[in-house]
Amino acid sequence: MQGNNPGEKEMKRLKNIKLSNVLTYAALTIVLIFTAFPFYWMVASSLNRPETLFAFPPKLIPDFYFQNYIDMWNNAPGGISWWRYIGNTVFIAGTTTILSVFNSSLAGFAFAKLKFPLRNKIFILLLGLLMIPGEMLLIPNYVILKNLHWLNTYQAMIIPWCASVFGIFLTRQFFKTIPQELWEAAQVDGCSIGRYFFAVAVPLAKPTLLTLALFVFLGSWNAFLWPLIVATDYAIMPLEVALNSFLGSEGTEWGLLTAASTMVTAPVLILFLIFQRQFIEGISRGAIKG
Amino acid sequence: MTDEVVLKRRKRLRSVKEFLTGYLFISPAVLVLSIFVIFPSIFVFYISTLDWNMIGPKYFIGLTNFVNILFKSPYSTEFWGSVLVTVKYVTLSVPLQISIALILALLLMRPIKFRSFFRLGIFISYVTPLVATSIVWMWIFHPDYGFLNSFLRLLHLPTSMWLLGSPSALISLVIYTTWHAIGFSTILFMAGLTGVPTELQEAARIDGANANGVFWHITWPMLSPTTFFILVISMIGAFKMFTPVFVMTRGGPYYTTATTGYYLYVKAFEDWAAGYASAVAVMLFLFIFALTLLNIKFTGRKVFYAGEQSRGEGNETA
Repeated sequence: MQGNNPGEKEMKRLKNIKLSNVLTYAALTIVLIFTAFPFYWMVASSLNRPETLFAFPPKLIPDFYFQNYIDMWNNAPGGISWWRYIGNTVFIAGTTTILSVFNSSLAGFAFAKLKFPLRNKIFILLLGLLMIPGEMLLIPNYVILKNLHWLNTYQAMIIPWCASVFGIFLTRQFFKTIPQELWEAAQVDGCSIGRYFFAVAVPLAKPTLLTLALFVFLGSWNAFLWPLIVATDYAIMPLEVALNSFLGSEGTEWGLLTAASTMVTAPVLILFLIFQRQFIEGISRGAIKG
Repeated sequence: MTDEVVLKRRKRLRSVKEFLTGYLFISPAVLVLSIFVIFPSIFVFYISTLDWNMIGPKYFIGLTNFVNILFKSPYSTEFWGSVLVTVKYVTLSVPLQISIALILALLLMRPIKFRSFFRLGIFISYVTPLVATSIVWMWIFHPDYGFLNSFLRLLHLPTSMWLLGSPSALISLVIYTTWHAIGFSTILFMAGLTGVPTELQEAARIDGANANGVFWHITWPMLSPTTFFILVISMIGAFKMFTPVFVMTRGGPYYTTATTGYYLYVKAFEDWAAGYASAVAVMLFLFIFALTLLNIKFTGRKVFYAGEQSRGEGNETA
């Protein structure tokens, strides 16, 4: 009988909504702690004295002991400076990004806007390449680079990655949305294809190119297996591979190891925080609209 | 000459120019992809018929490598062992990841405050480098001083050897990769959920269906292409998985975490058995190809292993 009271029913409904909201926030907060805590623990551990690292119960507030960073910096693997590894990674990731975005957008534009024989056949062939797992290519590519005398060179980590099927696909999708009239109008004004591409199409595509650049840069910065195989000289190693060597030499110095991990992770985290919208959109677009 | 002829000639000239420009524009990308993707994916089949250590002479041995992998102990035991590890890993990680990601996506689609903050926090681990974060998790998993065991001890719960024990090492890897990839699957589910028409859900609700019924009879079936897509890319990711295994366990203890991707690396670049490892790579390709075909058949969608990472770069824990 009580249920018949409309006010009471409404109250119950509101209560239910409130309860489910509380549960939602609780569940999301728990997952957020799970995903974010390792980052906090990485930074906190890197700022702890050795004896604090082994304390029980663990101390959540660090000592702000910066000696770990100094020791880490002075004990770079291979007896050379961390600057070298940072420079290598920045150079490799930067060059790969510029070349890959340039080459992919050129091809994406051609596939979207220019007419030439076998255009669609070539495009479908390239899309088919996405089904080939990179692991299958490791050995033959290693043999190819060996024969080119490219092992332990920068180009070994740049040239194979300076075109991307995903990038061609992504930029083609965008260039298709530019109205054909714009191109016709430009032609009437005597504009060449090359000039139209650089002066009209690329500026319009900036958001797409930025998304692509972020993904290529991130992929190159985080790359491990390929550089591990082709870069065995310390002088050209990128950070992630050097960090693996550091793990080998400082296996139990957790303060130093977490300091080095912080150094490698921080640039990526900062980049992600600045461009999070592009990252998340890129994932949903690239993966869903296949 | 009449104007018409001039116009026609000019038009033809323009289309010749256009197709030359077209080839010019695609040539850098096509050249790179031909040398480093198309050629090697054929070349690998040839190498798989060799007995070769990448330095010395090549001996042609036909399909012996494949026969060894599939049937001859100890090779077949090692290979099928790595497949079994991968299957175990998939069985543990995929249902876990899909259910957590789906719940998170459903929660994040509700009209809540701080939505983009939560989404950011859940997604952030996906972009971070695998070696660096594997090291952090090795420290968290440390049996004596790691945070995880300390936390369990504080709660008077049983502790574990984590990466050093069996089967806990495989479970530790599942925890790590779930942590790394959960945001990725969640974003995919959110994109899938925006495709489920709200009118349908509202109509069902007006017809008296409760939230549970709406989910199981409308949302879940409509979401099945996304679910299947995540299922397939997670399985492919498992077969490709290398970096966390290499950094955290080196396949141990007793090969209980030696996945097929890791086994391939060891055979190729530690034992330098190029022919044998290429045969493993071909088998890996066949597994992944079968999964991809299944995916296309069921969802009509090509698999984009999370963007360019399709070529072995970076994020293999999708």
